[in-house]
Amino acid sequence: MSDGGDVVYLYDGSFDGFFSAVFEAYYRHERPRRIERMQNAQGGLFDIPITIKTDKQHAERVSAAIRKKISYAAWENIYCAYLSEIPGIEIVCLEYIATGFRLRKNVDLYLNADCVMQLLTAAKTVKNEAHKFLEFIRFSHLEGGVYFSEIEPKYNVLPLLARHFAERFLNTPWMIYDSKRRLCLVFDGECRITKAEGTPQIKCSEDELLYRSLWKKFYDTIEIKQRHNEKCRSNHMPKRFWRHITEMNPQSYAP
Amino acid sequence: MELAKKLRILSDSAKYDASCSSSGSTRKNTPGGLGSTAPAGICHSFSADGRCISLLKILLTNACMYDCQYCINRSSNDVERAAFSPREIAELTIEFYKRNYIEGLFLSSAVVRSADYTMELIIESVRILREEYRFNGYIHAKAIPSASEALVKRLGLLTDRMSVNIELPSNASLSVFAPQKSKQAILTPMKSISDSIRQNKEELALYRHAPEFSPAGQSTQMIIGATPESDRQIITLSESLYKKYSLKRVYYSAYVPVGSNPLLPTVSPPLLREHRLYQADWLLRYYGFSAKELLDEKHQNFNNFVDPKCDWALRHKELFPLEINRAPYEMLLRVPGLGIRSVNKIIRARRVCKLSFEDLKKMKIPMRRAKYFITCGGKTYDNIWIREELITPFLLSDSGAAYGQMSISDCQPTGEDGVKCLTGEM
Repeated sequence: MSDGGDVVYLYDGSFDGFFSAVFEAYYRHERPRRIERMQNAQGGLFDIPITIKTDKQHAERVSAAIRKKISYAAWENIYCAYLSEIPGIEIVCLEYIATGFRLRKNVDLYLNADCVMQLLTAAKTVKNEAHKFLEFIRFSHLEGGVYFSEIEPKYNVLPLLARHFAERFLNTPWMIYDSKRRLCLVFDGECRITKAEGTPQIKCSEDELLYRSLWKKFYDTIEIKQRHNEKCRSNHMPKRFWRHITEMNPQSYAP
Repeated sequence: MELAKKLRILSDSAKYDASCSSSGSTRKNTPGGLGSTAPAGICHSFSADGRCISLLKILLTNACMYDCQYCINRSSNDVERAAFSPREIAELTIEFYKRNYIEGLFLSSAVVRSADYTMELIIESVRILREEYRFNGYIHAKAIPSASEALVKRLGLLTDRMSVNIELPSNASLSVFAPQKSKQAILTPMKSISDSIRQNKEELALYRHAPEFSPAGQSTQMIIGATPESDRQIITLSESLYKKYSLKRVYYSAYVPVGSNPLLPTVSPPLLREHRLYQADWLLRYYGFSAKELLDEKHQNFNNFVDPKCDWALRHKELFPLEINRAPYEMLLRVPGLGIRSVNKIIRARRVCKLSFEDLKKMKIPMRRAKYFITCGGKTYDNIWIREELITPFLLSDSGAAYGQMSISDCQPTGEDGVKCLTGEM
């Protein structure tokens, strides 16, 4: 692959868009300097921007090649790393894919290669963040029967939450709203992610406050006072989550 | 009595139980059902003492007919008493579960009327959840010592995990502080559960749809620091419990002074000792250590300053340093500072290339303690060599900082004080 010099790929931010960019890099035999989302393009002085058209078929070919030539786990890690939205992660992914095509399924053993370690670290960080939300999501029962939850995740973890909650709450409609990205994961028999227009107006059902206050009571009594340990708590449950955790936010349990 | 008040009283009584894990079960949701379990378990919150809250940990009632001296619910203690009905427990669990507050229920109870009667109440609560609400979340239930075997078996078919608390680490202590319980009464249901689990495994191998008996196994708990047993006795007991009854976990609960018996210590809970026991417990279960390697005649208690693995390594300097590129998996696990994850990373990476210290650093393997015990390609880290008197200061665990309020000097005497005050008087 020739050095692409100052070429910068701009894609629309979707996963298919990103894989179309990867396809383009292989098709044109060049290595772009950066791959960026259109909306946060930096536009450096010497950049030669190329806008990538999202092409489902191209993306599918890249996906299939990764799964076949590297491994399914590699595909999953790339997807998770992409969800991190860390600036520059796209180039790491591209390098990882190139290394993967060379080393095949053993690529993940080369932990001392920078791109492998960086990609696996990014994927791990995203998976950890997603796990935090399996823990700390708090649903509120709304009038009309929907269970609603609001979150502000560091990374775009909504797609990683769908399966867990869809299996668990099979018979009730629920909704997780990412207020930072204005995305909504909605479940009513099947999962989909939609763009939210404005903040959803919610009205809690009658007994919602009762159960919130019962939960708060339980939370307070379960502590063993002689073992009080503030630091240990915030290690496990960092303060950035507290705003949306029922028992930690006085606005949610006090009427 | 009001629901909120009952919840306060009965969770207050239940909180001294250390176990709160929701792992080990792969129960799937069923059509028309509610909930599922996650094999690795999920903690949903952390209380202000830093312990995880994964299950709704609660007693059915705290009106106990027993008078165990170390227990807050002993019949002679002057505390508020309350009782839930099985249906109230089930409703509360469901409402909390639907809001993703909890993974499921941890149901225990004081002994009321008789062991069998109490067991029947527990079974009824769990039955309502499983059958009426078709609840597929995690349920951990206590088997009451000296309850009949048939009831233990019925409960096991409804729950994910069962436990019988061993309470105190020796028969002698039990007879002093819990005269109504005997070692036999505790070990009998434990054995019955472990037999049923083993038998159930065989059934499942034959019939895929056989009902599962306590699929996440059984656990137990003992109270640390209330009685004079040494760490060696405790860890040996744990080892035999793991071997004999294939327990999933033994929990150690630092004794919080709630008793009024003059033989019991009144000092604050020996948290560092509890921590050391947990470290040793992990070494037993995942690192291939045996109890007699960790402590022996000469070393009855764990070192307050270094963790058990480090302590062991310092006593076995002849085995180190290990060559990271060649040492077998079992030996790498014994290097202080390397955990299962780090060792797995090393094993994977060294299949494809020779590792140097730089590589380990890139792989984010912590070197703080390990560097004194390993070589990479024959080289030591900055020419460090193991000399106990030189390196021990560097190995001191930072437990004072990591485990919160206590500093090492606070913790050191507590365990021993408790022991001394007891041995002096007994």
